[in-house]
Parts: sequence; C-alpha cells; structure tokens
Amino acid sequence: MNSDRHKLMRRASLAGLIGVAAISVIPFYYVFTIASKTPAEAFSASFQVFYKITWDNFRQLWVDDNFLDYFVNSMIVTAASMIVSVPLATLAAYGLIRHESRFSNRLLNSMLALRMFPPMLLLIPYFLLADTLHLTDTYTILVLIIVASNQPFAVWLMRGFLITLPKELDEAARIDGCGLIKTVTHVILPLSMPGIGTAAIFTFLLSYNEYLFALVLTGKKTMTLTVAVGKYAAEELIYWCTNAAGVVSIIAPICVVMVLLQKWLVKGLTAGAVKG
Amino acid sequence: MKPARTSRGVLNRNRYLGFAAPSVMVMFAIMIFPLGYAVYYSLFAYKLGREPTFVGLGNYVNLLTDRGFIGAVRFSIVFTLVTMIAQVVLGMAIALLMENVGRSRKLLSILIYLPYFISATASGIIFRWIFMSDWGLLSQVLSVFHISSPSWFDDPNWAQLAVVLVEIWQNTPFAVIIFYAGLQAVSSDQMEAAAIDGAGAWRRLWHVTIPNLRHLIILVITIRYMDAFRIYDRIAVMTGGGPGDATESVSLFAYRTAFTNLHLGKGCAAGVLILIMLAIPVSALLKLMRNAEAD
Repeated sequence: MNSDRHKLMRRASLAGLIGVAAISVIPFYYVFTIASKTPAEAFSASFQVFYKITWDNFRQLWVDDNFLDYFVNSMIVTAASMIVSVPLATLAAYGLIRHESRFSNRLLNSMLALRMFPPMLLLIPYFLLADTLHLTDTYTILVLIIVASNQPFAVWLMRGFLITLPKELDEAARIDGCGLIKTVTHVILPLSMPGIGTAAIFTFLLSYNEYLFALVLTGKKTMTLTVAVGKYAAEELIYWCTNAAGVVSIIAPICVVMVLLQKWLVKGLTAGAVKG
Repeated sequence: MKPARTSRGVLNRNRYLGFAAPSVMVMFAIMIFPLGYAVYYSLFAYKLGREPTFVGLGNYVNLLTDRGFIGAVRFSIVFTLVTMIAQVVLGMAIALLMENVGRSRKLLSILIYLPYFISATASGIIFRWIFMSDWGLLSQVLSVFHISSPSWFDDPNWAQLAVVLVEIWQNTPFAVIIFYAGLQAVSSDQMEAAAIDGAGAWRRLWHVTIPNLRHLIILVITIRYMDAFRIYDRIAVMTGGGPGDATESVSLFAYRTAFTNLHLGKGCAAGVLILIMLAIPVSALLKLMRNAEAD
C-alpha cells in the first residue's frame, strides 16, 4: 500500500513539474512562432501549434539589416570581458585564500558589499567620465565596466572552488622545486579548470545579457545585441515578426549554452552557497 | 607544528597579496572611485550642459518631498516583497517536487531553469507581446474561452501585476536551483529518523527540511531582494514605467531624472538613496545568514 502511495506521489510530482516546465517554455515557443510566420499570419492568429515555418524574417534581419554588426559587437565585448575578468578573479581568489589574514578576509567581505551596488548609481559617473576621457561609444569603457562589476561575483565563485585545494599541495610543489609562479601555473591552474570554466560561463552570461550600461555608453559603432533588440522592439508593430526574429536570435545561444553546460551553471550558482 | 616564521616566509605570504592586486585595483578604480564621484555630484544642482552649483543636501530634500520618488520607492518595495515571497514559496515547492521524480528530472530541470538565464531585456519584450491587447498570446487564449482580456498596460493595477508575474516567471528558477542543491545535502539519516519516529511528510518538511535549509532561504531572499529592488531593464522595455508612473521602480525614476530630464545631480542623489535602501536590509540579512550558518 505504501508503495502505491509512493507511486501516486511520483506521478503527481511529475505532472506538476511538467506544468511548471510548460509555463517556462511556452513564452519561448510563442516568440518563435511569431518570428517564423509571415506578418499576415502572425496578426491573424499569433498562436498556433502547427503552421508553415518561414525563415524570411531571419534572412531580413541578418542579411538585409545590420544585425550581424550588433552580434559582432556583443561577441567582442563578451570575449574581451571573459579574457580579462576570469584570470583577474582566479588570481585574486587564490592570493586571498593563501594570504590567510584578517585583512584578506576583510577584502573578500567588502567585495560582497560591492555586489550590492545599484548599477544606476554608477551609471551617471560612468557617463560623465566616458565623456571626459573620450571613451563614449568604445568597446574599452563597456568592457572595463563589465569586468569590474563582474569581479566580486567571479572572485567569490573562484574562492568556492579554490578553497577545496589543500595548502599541502603548494608545499609539495615547493619541495619539488617549483617557485610561486610555477606552482600556480603548473599545479593550481590545471586543478581549478572546473572553476575557471564556470567563471567563464557566468562572465559570458553577464556581459552578453548586459543592457543598462550598453544603452547609455554605446553608440552607432559599438551597439550591442540587447540594446539593438530593445530599441527595435519599441518600434512600430509593423515590424513585429522581424523584431521577434531578433529576440529569438538573442535567446538561441543562451539555450544552447544551457542545454550543453547545465551542470556547470548549477554548480556555479551553488558553489560556496551550499555546503557538502 | 607550525614552521618557524622566517623573514622569507613573511615575504612569501605578502607575495600572495600581489595576486589580488590587479583585481582589487580594477574594483577600486571602476567602482569605488565612481561611487565617490556620484556622492560628490549628489551635492550639486547639475543640469547637463550647465555649470554645477553646490546645493548641499538640497537634492536629497528635494527627492524626499518628490511624490514621484516616494511613489517609485513604494512601488519598488511592494514589487520586491511580493516577488521575493512568491519566489521562495514556489522555489521550495518546485524543488521538493523535483526530489520526487526520477529519470525525467534532467530534461525537466533544463526547461524549468531556462528563464533565469536569458536576458531580462528579451523576457521583457516577449511578455510585452504576450500581454498585448488584441494580438497578444494571453488575449488570444482567453478569447477561446470567450473571456475578454483586460488591457494590461493601460490600467495601473493590471500593469503592476504583469511586471510582478514576469519577475516571478524569470527568477523563481534561481530559488529552485539553490533549494534543490540544499535538499541533496540534508542528510537522509535525519529524514529516516524522523520517519521512524512517525513524522508525516508535512511534519518532516517543517521540522527537518526547512530548519536545515534556513541559511539558504536567507541567501535566496538576500539575492532576490538586491536584484528586484534595483531592477531596471525588464520593466524599461516592458512598460517603460507606465501607464503614467504606475510601474516606475526607483531605478527607472533615477534614469528618467538623469537621462531624460538631465538633472544629473538629483539623479546621483537618487542613486545614493537606492544604495542606502539596499545596504541596510542586506547587511541585516547577511548577519542573520551568518548566525544561521553558525548553528
């Protein structure tokens, strides 16, 4: 009897979860249906499960409009942010763990406080400074800002991974004649690859999805995908299907990352938060 | 035994701080310094293109008597509290359901986590279309059942409900991820002992599971509080703060002040007030979390 009840529980849970999954996914499917219909079809019935798919809106967007430029801009900013941010955070986390002092703990805790900063507070100084330094509409300013605002999270993430490496590891390397630099490059870095990979994914997500700073600080030359899509979507509904194709294009890479790397994304969020 | 501290040992230890230097310098130059800059300009009446004039705390007094700002604070508080509570309750419920299913968990969890990882701009646009009158998904579905959909973005209350619902849709997965990982770590011994003592499922939830996850519940509340209170992008593309200023959060207010009305000094002051409203509850929550972790 108990196992019957157990089975029933399982079925009910499964049904509940399928419902939750449907609510999560239907908006994605909906925007895809708009993006893959002709405008006439989309306006006559925007939601159908079966219909004839057209790729014209995507062709319009990627070939005729300059969507490719925005995509390239986003990729440049994202790649540069990852290349700068992850090594900085890895070294900082390692150094602060090994320094083992009240001072280094205090530094780590003040980084937590930085995570709390509202972007809106820093936006006005950034806007004024970019103007003074002639950095408006450059990749440099956006990358610097993203790297800085990503540092607190990335350092804490790397700390969660690196703290599992025992100090004896460093000492053994030292006995084998490795200097400090060689210990880091030959012993610590290879062992912290999972952490580095996770930090890279999160830096990718943060800079790829960034909107507010890019909205104010980019211009014609450096406009990123999120800003372009946000701008298009505010326009007339005549371009509804093309705009939907833009939204689908911006989400698609995230869906791929999610399916391939789900394990690491979950690990990154829970590192340090959950013991055991 | 501790090795004796040689002068070389001290030197080596300080070399570790060198590793942290680049990261700390970046944070200082790009976050602390601009913070000082913002605090400084919050004391000036500074309209873009004109010379700033010192007004002391004038901007702050101005804001605290500005009905627009007070309204935005009120909206942000309600928005944050409602979505935070909903996310903790739903997140816990979904995480518990996930414990009960077997093989299908992996696929389902990918689908359930997906909303959390897409950009808030994209989700704002999608839901702008879902809630749109006439052609939107919701009004089409409702019309099948001959229910006429409210015009979500023309009515203050419906618009507020819409932005609340989308915040819950997008960020509940964060709570699920954290709670599910926490549930794995609750020792099965404790659960079995409780079950043998004759505790039913509800009692086990209240007396074993939730107390064990207390620090994670506080963690989720802290993170969601920070993000919801300072939200900008999704609301900006979904409603633009409207109708009127019904869905204007504190960040939207600060943005409008600084970049539409070009009152940079007042915008900085609004930013500083947002930081204060974040810092006080968050530091209290962090203290609570440290206590919860200690026992």
